[in-house]
Amino acid sequence: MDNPNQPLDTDLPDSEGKQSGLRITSSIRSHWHATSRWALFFAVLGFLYLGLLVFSLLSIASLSTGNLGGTEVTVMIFMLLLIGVLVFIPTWFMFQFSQNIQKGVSNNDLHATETGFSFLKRFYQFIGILTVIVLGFYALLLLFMFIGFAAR
Amino acid sequence: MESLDHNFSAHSADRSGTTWQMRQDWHVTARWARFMAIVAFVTAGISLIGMIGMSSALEQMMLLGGMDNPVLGAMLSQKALFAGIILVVVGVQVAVNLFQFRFANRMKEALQFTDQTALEDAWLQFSNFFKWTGIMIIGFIALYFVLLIFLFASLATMGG
Repeated sequence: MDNPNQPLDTDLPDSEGKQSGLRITSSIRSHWHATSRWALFFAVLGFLYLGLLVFSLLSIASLSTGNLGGTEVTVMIFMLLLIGVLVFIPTWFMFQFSQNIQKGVSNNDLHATETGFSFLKRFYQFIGILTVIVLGFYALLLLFMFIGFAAR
Repeated sequence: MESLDHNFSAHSADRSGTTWQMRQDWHVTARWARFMAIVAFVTAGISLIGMIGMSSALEQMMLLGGMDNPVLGAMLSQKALFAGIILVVVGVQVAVNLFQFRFANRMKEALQFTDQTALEDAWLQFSNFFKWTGIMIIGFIALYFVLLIFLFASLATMGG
């Protein structure tokens, strides 16, 4: 669906029939191809890590009848599930970026390329927002520490 | 017979051109990439300051009564080794994120001034960022396994 904010003549040729603006050259395609292969590597590492998390979850669940109490097990399972979700989302975006860019470059498929870059954008947005949240927590922690020291 | 316009989209560029949607996505990506690079640089700076501070803190802890603490003693004796490791890690982090920072700047230039050279350079920097991040990760994983092997070998030697 077209973006209503997009200028009407953005992608049309100019009066001489030349496509003005930025072009996708063969060197850019080769950079994209190399990038998509490394992106696939990162996605595979992410999925491997998720597999380890699932293994840890199952181990903790099997230990629940042992020395650990119910509350502790619940907290650990909750933390692992949260970490799992936070790892899965960017890994999935990275995987989709890789697959779509590879398809776009191999088949000269503009739609796949667009989709790929959309996933890359979403990956960066997610990681960026997560980073801002973590930095916010650190700032709050430092603030409470300073307040605690000042109160003494 | 293939229809001549079966891949034609009235509102997208030809296959060698960029679309408006792509350029919008690149713009957002470049902004977040710049932010992440700056965060990485600041983290590296804090790590360096922390490394300098840690050495003084350890010495203070020893003076305050930890003179017979073997862990503190071992850490102080290996101060140079720890400092070297931290310097290497910080250096690699800065070098790799420099590619990301350059990608962000060049992409911004490319989109702002419709600069084809800047666009090609931006994607080269991004490709290098991914490549060196991947190499760094492979290096850390290999180092991790080497340390595990040494640990198990040490434990086996001690037990035997």
